[in-house]
Amino acid sequence: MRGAVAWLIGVVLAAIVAPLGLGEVAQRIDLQAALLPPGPGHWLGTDGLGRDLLARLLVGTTASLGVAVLSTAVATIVGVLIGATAGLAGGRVERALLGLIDLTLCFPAFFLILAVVAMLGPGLTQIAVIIGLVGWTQTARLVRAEILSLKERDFVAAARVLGAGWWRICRVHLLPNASGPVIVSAVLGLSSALLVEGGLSFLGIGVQPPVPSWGNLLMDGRSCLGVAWWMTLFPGLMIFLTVLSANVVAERISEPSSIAPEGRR
Amino acid sequence: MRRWIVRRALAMVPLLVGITLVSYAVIRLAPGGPVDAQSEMNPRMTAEARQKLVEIYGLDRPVYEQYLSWAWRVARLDLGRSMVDGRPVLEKIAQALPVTLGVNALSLVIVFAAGIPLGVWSAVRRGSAVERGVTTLTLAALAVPAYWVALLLISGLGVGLRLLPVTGLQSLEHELLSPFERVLDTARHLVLPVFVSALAGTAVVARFMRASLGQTLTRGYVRAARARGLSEHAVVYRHALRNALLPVITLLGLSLPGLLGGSVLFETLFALPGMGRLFYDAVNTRDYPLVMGVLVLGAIVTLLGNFLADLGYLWADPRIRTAHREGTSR
Repeated sequence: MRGAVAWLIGVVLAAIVAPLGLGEVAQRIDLQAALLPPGPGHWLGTDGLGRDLLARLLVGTTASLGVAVLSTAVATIVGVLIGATAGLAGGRVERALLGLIDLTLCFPAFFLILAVVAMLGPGLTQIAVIIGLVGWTQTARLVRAEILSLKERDFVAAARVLGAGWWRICRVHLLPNASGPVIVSAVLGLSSALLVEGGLSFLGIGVQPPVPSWGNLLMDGRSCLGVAWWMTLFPGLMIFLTVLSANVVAERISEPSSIAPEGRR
Repeated sequence: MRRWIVRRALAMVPLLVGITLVSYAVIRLAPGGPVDAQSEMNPRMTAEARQKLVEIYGLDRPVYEQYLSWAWRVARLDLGRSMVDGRPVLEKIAQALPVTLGVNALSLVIVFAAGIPLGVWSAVRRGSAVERGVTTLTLAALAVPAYWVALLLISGLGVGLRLLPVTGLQSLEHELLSPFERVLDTARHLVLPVFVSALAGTAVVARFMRASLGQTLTRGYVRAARARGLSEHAVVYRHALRNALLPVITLLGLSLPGLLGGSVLFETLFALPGMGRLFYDAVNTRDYPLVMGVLVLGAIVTLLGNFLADLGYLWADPRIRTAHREGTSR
């Protein structure tokens, strides 16, 4: 758990700091030093143009993590809005929104992403928004279920009696109480967004070179398969460790023992 | 209950229509069209010839009209022809489907055959080294990018050690082999793709199974069975497991549609001519009939899969049957 948190903090720091300090190093071409294996000078080796892999990985953190965070934010906001509306409104509105969720789940997410990338072009923001717009259903379902059960509770009835409007009840009583599962699903969404971004960039329709991201660095590695193992190993390892850390953190917060005082940390 | 089943089945129709509408809208909103894809790289394509193509495909008519004529044809079970090479959509799908279906079916078998025992095992041995091992492995399998594992395996086992073939389904000399060797040859080609596609699913099933069985073991009837002096084996496998399998049945139903959806990533990596590649290329060339054909088939199978999962629930859990008979739910 501690390792996971430390890794995530490190990754976030890298995403913020790396482009400032290493932006230029990551793009410096040195054909004399092409395809060097990991060693002194280039700790993780160099790519086919002699660019330092470590620097490129660190700078790539910004794009990969940026896309993941933005898409998770989109998914969470849309999911909470739709889930809360469905849970509160009930009746026809609820049925329509549930239908919308089923509809979204019937599409292969990949098709929507592909088609929208074709429409809007493969920019960083577009990709983040698209991944987010395909991934809100889980959050919406969670929020709806939470609100359905919360709205029957006594404290909500008491608030009603005291004259609170639905907007206030939703803001003060319902959403804060539903936030636990939402946070967990957001952290899990973050890791799945990382994997999707990696896959898209890997196909060449995600983050576009020259901007490095973990996914397109892995794609570079594929073209040097059997020649430069480090170009495949390290970008994938970054994705793996980050997703693993996020999953571990999500698992820990979702365990009831993490809230109880006697739970082991 | 019969009425519930009928109503549930009828509810799939508007959903299907909605799916075709959205798909059509999305693919038509994407810039470019099948004619562009064909004429862009062809220097001898004149403006008139281009216009002719547009007319042949009916692309000059209003979009809603095109949709309606498409829908009318599909209602008569005709998916039309590809706009790229003129072959029937159904024929192209029939060619790609066995590849995808084969890989996915094999991997689904592995997912459940390995995932269920792993989950049961770690639920029964709570707190032991076995449980910790399974938990760690499943966490890792869920977090690892499958395309990365595929790359590492290709470079390690395929390119490095030359143990397994890494592209396609058949070796070059496939035609010259004896029938037995042919089967072996295809099997060897399938090892890596099947393993890679089964990885995450196995972890999901194992975790599901563990959570579900762990919860069931705390139930009253399990206690009662223990109190009656039944052996632990009988308690777990005869009383608890059957109930704990419920969510796993749903999972199986939900993963059936996935059998058809080929992964573009794996099929690209292993050079397999499956549904994923077919669909990817169709979207890229704006081959509208092919895109729609793949999507409609996929949607039908998804809806049927969900329906079957619900029926499976009815079959396995008498409590749900009773609820529907009394009309208390829905």
